[in-house]
Amino acid sequence: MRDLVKISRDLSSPSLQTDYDPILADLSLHKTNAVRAGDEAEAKRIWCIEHAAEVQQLYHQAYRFLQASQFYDAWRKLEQVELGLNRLRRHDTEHWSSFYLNFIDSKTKAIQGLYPYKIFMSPEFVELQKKCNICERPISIRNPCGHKVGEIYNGEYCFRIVTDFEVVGMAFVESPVQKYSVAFMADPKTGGMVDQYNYSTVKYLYDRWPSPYHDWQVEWTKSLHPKHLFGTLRRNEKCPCDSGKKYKNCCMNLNGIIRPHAVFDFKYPINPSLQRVELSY
Amino acid sequence: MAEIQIEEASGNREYWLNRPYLSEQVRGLLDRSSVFLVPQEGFRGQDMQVFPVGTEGFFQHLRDSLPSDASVEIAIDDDQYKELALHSTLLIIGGALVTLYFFPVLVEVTSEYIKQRLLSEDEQNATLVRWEVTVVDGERTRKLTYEGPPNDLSKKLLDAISQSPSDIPINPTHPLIEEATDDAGLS
Repeated sequence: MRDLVKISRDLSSPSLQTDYDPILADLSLHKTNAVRAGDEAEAKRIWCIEHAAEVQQLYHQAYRFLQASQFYDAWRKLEQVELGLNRLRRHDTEHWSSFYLNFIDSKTKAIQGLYPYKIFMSPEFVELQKKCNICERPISIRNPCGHKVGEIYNGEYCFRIVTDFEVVGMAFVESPVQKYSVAFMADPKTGGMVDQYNYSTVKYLYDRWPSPYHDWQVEWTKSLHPKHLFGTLRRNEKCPCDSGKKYKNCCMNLNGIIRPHAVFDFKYPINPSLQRVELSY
Repeated sequence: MAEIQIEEASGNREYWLNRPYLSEQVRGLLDRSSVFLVPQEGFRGQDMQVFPVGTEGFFQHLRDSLPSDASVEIAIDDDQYKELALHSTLLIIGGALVTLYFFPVLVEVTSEYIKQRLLSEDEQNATLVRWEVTVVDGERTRKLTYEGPPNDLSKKLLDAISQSPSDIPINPTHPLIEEATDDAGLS
């Protein structure tokens, strides 16, 4: 079993080659030993390292999905990265920089911003019964078990497990809590999922991103796009700039269509053959 | 942009004390409390009372953080307690009824709770908060509804209650109160 110093050193220089399974196995053993010794503070410290390793691993998995053009799978991994970082944020300031968590945080948000997903399904349900994952006690509002959601007990993150619920509705929302609930089309014959989204901006990035730790920035502006990119535009149709107005009352008299425009700043040299921008609508 | 609405409230203290789904024991607890959380009734036509998801933590936070002379309760029996999860980024905080005396400290404690729940600056900037708080001042009851950024909540609510015009007529008795009072043989 490697000691925590060696593990921390590995997590301070992460790469796609980092093998997380033995790291997580060793951390689990360290944590078990700390719990057995009754050292709550050490168990919590190891939980933080363990969780940081899991976040790195999820981030690498998201990167690999992007490389394989599995965009929705990458999106779900990025959401798990985001959730993992949120859990870690209140407990760990020590490793935030050295384990590249600031970098991962910033890149995760930036990649999520490149996605074309705008509409999500949001389930509405009544949670009838819950229990605590630490002590397994059912939640009672006036007689709480004493374990607070978000705290660490014996090296475990505290949350609630919903054991009985009732769905009361489903809503379409633009800002969901669960980002994985993307609205997809369905194949009318098979009922299977059809991915109708255009990922050209995400593709533009990953074609030019040699590793998950190469740095880049993106700035969003608006610019005029040539009208021929949008096909035949009819006066009374909705304007393709997404203003919600009719085309004749919006961009028809302009020299182009005003659309969001992503400007990438790569902090490393990129292949000149990849500098041409191709965006299809 | 923060929005705040003030209205003379129909859901005053007696309204909640006389809700038919409360046991006599809980009625007694509410009657002796200075602050209590109130459920949302009839969501989407459902015959149940629900609290926004996370109310369990909010209730404990209030009990831990409010002064010891502010008795904190919740207008539901333990076995009827349910949470409603809407899964939107609008953070809905459990509605509260409070005496005017404890209103400022309740606002501060609630603001602190929201900051603890939304840890990162990004989360605080990206999230809107909605909170309804009913303030009881003698015979008068006002409901304040805040919807806006978490960081503005405290100032906006405290400003609003101090600027609320004093000549708003006191709300007439709500029909449901009369009905519930009659049913309970309390009138």
